[in-house]
Amino acid sequence: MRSKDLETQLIERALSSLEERFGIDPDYFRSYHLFTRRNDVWCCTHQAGEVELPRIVRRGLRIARVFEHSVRPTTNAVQLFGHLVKRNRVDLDERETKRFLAGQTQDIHLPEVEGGECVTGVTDGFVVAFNMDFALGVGLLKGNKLKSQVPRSRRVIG
Amino acid sequence: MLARFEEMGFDLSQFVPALLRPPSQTFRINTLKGSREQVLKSLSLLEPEPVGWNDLVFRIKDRQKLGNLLEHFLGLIYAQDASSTIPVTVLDPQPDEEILDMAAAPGSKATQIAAAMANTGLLVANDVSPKRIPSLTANLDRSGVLNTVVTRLPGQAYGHIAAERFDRVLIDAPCSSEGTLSRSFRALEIWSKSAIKRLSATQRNLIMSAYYSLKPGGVMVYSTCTFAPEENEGTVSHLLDKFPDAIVEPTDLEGLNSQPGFSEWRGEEFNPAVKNILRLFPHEHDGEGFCVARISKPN
Repeated sequence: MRSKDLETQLIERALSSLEERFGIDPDYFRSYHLFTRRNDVWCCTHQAGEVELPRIVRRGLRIARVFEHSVRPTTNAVQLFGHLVKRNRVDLDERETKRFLAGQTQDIHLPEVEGGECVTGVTDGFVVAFNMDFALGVGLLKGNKLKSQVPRSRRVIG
Repeated sequence: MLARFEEMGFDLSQFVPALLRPPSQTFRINTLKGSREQVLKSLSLLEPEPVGWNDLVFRIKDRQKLGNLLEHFLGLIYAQDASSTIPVTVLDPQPDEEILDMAAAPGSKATQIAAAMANTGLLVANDVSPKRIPSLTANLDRSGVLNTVVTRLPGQAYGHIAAERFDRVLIDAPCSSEGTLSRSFRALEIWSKSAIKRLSATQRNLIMSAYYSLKPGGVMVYSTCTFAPEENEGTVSHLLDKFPDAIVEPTDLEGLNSQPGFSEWRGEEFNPAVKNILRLFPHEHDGEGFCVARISKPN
């Protein structure tokens, strides 16, 4: 079992990374109960986090996976909290959206790049893909290549 | 099965074709992900029409693969038969309450409850079947539900482990599924008089457990997707025999064409209060067959 300190560290790392990379205010999550399972950070209401019952399968929603050098928010989390994203957002047209939902890797059109960095502040790494006002999920951006991170079970083919 | 339907007083020439004809496709807007206006604007090409009794449930004219729509992927809508949205509409969940969905998989009603609670409080989504838990969790995830704990227990356990805990309880009971023949003929494979007897015994245990787990002053909804009186009026009558104080409340949903519960079946007189059960028939209502009872526990 993980100590409370380690759990707090993992959660704080996830929150600060979400703030740094996507501009998501960590205070937004303070009103929820956050906890970890392995390298994943989960989020639920306080009542759901505190209730004691036998044979609990899970509580709330997995919001992020913490890697050694990065934090990847989940598709389910960005679809719920996408309106909080201020940075590293890419907007997809209809055709790009279809490919993204199918889990494909694609070349996308990004705004003018100056000195290797996009003028809108989009940098290589995890980004949140949008269609109109809706956050679709997370992609991994390298140059103009966007690799969809939509999990297999959620992909829409056709 | 047909002989029983005739015995229930149905005109088979109208009832059977309606039972086998798929009802209009319907979806429910998930307000945890978007507003009603936002979703209706996004789906305007489908020309959705409100069902009347619930502002968030809509019919569409032409059949669509709703699961392939962007709005479905985003969790903005949940494809759900119109009748299946009625138990939660009748339960009327409120924010910050503690609610139990005793047989929750695959999650259509649990996600509807969570949305009505605005992702606050506590929803315990229970299902006894390990095989059905993944579909439940997948639908909770897609719908953006944060207030839910998923448990895998026999529903019968809740009366003991959580006595008088919940503000509201939904028991959408396992049943002989006679009302779902338009969707699949699986009900025909499992249907038998002995299955009805066995299911009825399980339902009696579940409704008792649900009532025990309800706080004084709380409300529960018992529903099935079958017509069998043993599984509907018989089960509710059993509860009323054990708890004469329990109240089966009258339910009136605007624009919903329903019938009252049966007063007797094969010589067995039911408790008169079961007339307040809502019975939905496919030849009178554009949806699957359903039975819904709203029961309150006095303070």
